Amino acid sequence: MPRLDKVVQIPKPKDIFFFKSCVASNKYPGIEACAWESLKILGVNPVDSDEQTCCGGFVTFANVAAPTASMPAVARNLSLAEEKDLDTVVLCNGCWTFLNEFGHFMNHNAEVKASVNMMMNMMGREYKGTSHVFHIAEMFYRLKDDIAKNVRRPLTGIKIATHYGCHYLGGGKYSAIDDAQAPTYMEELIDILGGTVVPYTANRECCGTGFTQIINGKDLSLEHTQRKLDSVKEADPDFLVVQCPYCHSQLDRVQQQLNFRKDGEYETPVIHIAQLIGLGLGVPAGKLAFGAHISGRKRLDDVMKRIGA
Amino acid sequence: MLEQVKDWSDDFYERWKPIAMGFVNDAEKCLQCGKCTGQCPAAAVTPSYNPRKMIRDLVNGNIKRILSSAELWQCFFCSGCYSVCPMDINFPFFVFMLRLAAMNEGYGWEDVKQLEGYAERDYLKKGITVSTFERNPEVIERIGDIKKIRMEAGLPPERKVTDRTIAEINMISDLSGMTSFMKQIGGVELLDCQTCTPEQEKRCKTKPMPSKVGKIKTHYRFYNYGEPGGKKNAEAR
Repeated sequence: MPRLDKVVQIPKPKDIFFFKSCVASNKYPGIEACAWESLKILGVNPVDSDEQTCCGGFVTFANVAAPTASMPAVARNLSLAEEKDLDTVVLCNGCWTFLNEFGHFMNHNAEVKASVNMMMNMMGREYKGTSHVFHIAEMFYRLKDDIAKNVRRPLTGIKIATHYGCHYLGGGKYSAIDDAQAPTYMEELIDILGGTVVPYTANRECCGTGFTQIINGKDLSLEHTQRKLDSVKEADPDFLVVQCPYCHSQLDRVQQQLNFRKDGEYETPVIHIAQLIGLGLGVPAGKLAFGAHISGRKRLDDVMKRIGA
Repeated sequence: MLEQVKDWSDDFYERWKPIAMGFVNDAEKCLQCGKCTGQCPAAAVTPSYNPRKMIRDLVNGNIKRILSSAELWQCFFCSGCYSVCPMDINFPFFVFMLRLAAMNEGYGWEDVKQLEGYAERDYLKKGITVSTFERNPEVIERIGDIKKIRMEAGLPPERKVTDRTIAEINMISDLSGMTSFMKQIGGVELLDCQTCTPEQEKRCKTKPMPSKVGKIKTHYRFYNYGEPGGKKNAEAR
């Protein structure tokens, strides 16, 4: 059950700074395009900037950058939103934790903030800490009434399973809008779009990317993902909805790798919550960019036919 | 190998705290309840990985055992341990700190070396960590050209990042010591450093940042990375 006291704290903005994600831009462009279009349909104007970089979370948790290097990088990205006097919306759980937690840490630690600002001043910027960071999923939950009014393609009879990912609910257990162990807001959104929620056992399990484990400890990573996918396969949903592009990439691509290793037949389409909302709100099929998806393409096309897209 | 007295350290935790910039705290409060281990995805696939025991060893000062262990490099950074912890111990940041400390002792460099390219090739050159590059032939066959998909989705064929932005993140990297650290790992040779004299190189690594900003005094050093196998530069303060 979502914490309603947290939800009401999210303002309904007119404009919002649109923070792009590296995986969503370069691997699954549909996420970026759909999030942009859906926000527009819901009456929020996303504002882009070419000066934003990737959040840098990956290089930090790969231990290539210490917090001393990533703190100014976070401050730089947030200062872009502050310049425009806007709040920030992010597409990825990793970006959310990274910008939110590091920003929070700087706001409450004058010493760190001063040393970061020393570096910011050298490039003519300043970090003030006025931009709040919201995840696109919690933004959609805040705008659920507008979503209900704007449904163009009801997902009637489509079976949908959810995967929340770790870093939004686990890493930010005090700032997220839902409980870390039994979250339900994505199910509510699916209900609004007219879909059927399919429960499965390993819902709150990690996707298995483990930041760097997919590169350094591939066998561990695949073993874990296989457990998750087995449970998903048992429930047999039409979609597995995620809210993190990195989980998206792992769950989508590992299916193909496991099939290649002859470890089973996995063909479950994985889509991002922004794509699901975009699907319901009637975003044109080109912008959904399902062409970039690897697993379950046949099923995806089949579902698209069933809902008349 | 036998464990020796010098493998233990009473002040390790206090010394390394500032390196994770205060993200790590309250390890002494650990109740040893084991909830973290119970829900840990890494422990599910590697039974010898045990966050509870790692915190115990850290608090007791049995440092060498943690730093030299292979288990330290198996964390998935999923934050599940933090989400269930009754004492709010943010264990992933402990792993983060311990890995920096382990590298300072000369462990785990091979692991980090593989990842250094993401920072060097993609993050610092293009501003985006994950590039459009695909290694898997089956994936390439199935999705075709990602630029075309991006254009169909109404986006520019490549995500634009301005030159000024790239210069700025490189500046952050240089000033915070990330660049010289990457050079030490020995990934790819850095272009600017090829031409510099040994003396310049030395200055580049050790140049101190001002310790006072306005009225606020800071003790966070920006050059707090370790050298492989060396302890000298790694200690904060």
